[in-house]
Amino acid sequence: MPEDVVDYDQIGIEHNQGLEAIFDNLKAMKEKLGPLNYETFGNYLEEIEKGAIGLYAAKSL
Amino acid sequence: MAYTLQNHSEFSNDGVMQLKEGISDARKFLKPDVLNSGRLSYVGNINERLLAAAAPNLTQSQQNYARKIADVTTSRSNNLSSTLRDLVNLEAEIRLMMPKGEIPVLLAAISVAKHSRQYWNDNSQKWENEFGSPETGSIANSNITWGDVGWMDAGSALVYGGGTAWLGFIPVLGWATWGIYTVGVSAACSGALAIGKIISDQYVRPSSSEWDLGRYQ
Repeated sequence: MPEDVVDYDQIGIEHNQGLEAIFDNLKAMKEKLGPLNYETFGNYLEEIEKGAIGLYAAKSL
Repeated sequence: MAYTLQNHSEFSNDGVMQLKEGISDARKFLKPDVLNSGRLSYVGNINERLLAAAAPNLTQSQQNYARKIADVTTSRSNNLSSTLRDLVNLEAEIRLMMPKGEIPVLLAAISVAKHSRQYWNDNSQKWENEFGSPETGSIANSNITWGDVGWMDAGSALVYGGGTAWLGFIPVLGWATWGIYTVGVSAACSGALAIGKIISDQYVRPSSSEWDLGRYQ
């Protein structure tokens, strides 16, 4: 049964780990992306998506 | 033994594809508010659209609890401790009152809401310091709280976790993949709204014609 096999607390913990990884990635990419503003917003969003996908894809390999 | 998300062996290439699709769907969802018009100050609109988007995949009882999660998470009168307390109480009520099959998506959303609320309480200043602009300062103020960002996290877990929970996703790919998928999409939404908030707090929003989304279309 779902309740017995899913550790719900871990979902939130991993969510926060994901946010922290996204932060670290954005920080590392900031020089390339430029200062965050309306002109660079799209590039930041793209980097967030790539980071979120990459984080979990990497863990699965 | 509880299956934790730390074991990612079930997260296959199919899972990665699902995650990409989920994030792509989330982008489409966010676009009208965050990208096209930048109406970040109208967070109530985002809340209602999140609840509406989640509704088709939730029972009426789940929808009622979804609204309660939204109300608790975005309440302007709640501080961190009262928010966490209310979410814990809500979690206990759900475990007591809801059929087992309807519980997972709600508890996943509450877990994301609790941890996200704590995360933004502890780290919002770090994000603002890193990505904010000291030259401009807070001249616009989006009227979005970090609690609202937390609701976006929990709400996206409801929308995308709820959708996949009822569409044969779990039987095919497993609970671990569902959890990672839910977390991945909610983290992406959270990061997007966070930087949107930082921008909106610091700049007067230009007209939509001045937006440059680059390759992010």
